[in-house]
Amino acid sequence: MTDCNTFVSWLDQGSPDPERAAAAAHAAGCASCAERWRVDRSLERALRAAPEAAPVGFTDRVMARVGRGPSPLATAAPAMPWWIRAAMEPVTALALVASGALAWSSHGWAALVTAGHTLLHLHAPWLPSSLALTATGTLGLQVAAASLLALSSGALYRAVGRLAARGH
Amino acid sequence: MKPDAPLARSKDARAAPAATAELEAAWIERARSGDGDALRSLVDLHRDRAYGLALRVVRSAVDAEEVAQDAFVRAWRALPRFRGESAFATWLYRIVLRLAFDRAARMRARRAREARLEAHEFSPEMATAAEAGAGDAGERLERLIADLSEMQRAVVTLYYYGDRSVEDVARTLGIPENTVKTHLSRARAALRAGWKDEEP
Repeated sequence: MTDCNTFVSWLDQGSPDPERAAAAAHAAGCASCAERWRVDRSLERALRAAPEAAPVGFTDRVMARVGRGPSPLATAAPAMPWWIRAAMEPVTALALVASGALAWSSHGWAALVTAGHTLLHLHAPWLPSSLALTATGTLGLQVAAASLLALSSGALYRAVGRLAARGH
Repeated sequence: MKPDAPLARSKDARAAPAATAELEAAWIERARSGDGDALRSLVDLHRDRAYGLALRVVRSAVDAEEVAQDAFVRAWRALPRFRGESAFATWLYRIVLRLAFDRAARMRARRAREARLEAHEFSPEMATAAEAGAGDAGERLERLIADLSEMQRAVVTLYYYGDRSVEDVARTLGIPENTVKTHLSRARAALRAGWKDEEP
């Protein structure tokens, strides 16, 4: 470091260590740079000191505000409809796969249709007996089963959520 | 206003960083699951730096306290989503600065409106404790810092008082490291010139 400009530029960079020895050598022979360095060190000490501590009662006031607001756990839930969150639950996926397998296997589907048909005739004997076996009836049963599955998944999801919240 | 008793002051935190880091990690974990006592410990640990940072940007004690309080409340609510990808302090200071810059912008707009309505009238709300006093080193420094830009004040405060590295400051402010270095260099030059002139 041979000149004052380089020395000032070194101070502006925060007096990095690798050039400290060269800076000290320059300051030893230059009164104005030695003075600049002294001022810089005094400034750094002041900068590292606290500008001002937090006012009295700061923590209590924060805690009072926190106490008035909702718990972070209550606000942590993603803002998505319950049926999307329910659909992402592993138990829902499992239930869907199981019911899908049952519905599409010939024996399972036949058993389901027979059960549905019997139930239908027990509770609504006035309906035509061929309804459950027609394409419309089959589609209706599928839609009803899907809705029932979605609703029960939602109820199950919410019940598990309530249990988890109670645990916290 | 006088400061609270230093239960877990920032300087103590610097004296035993490893122990404090372990304690802090435990408090974060407990606070994340809703433990109020753990949150109180976190507030005690970071309140002075958070408040000091806000004060440097907004230059008003009342506004700085509101900003720092808001930041802690927001951090508490967002804590379950804090993944620890950055240090808790970096994350918290980012919230403080975002709120402080917003507040400072609103204050500037209000000042401009007031200036248009009442030219040359002094606004006591904008007077800081440092500006009101006269004499000691801290007050002289605050007067000099007041002349820096908001971004320079934030960079200088995070780097020196917040004890953050250039990389941390860049991450906290969301700006490139070279920009942080430039702000620091210009701020140092301006402060050094003023500091020398103001020395008794």
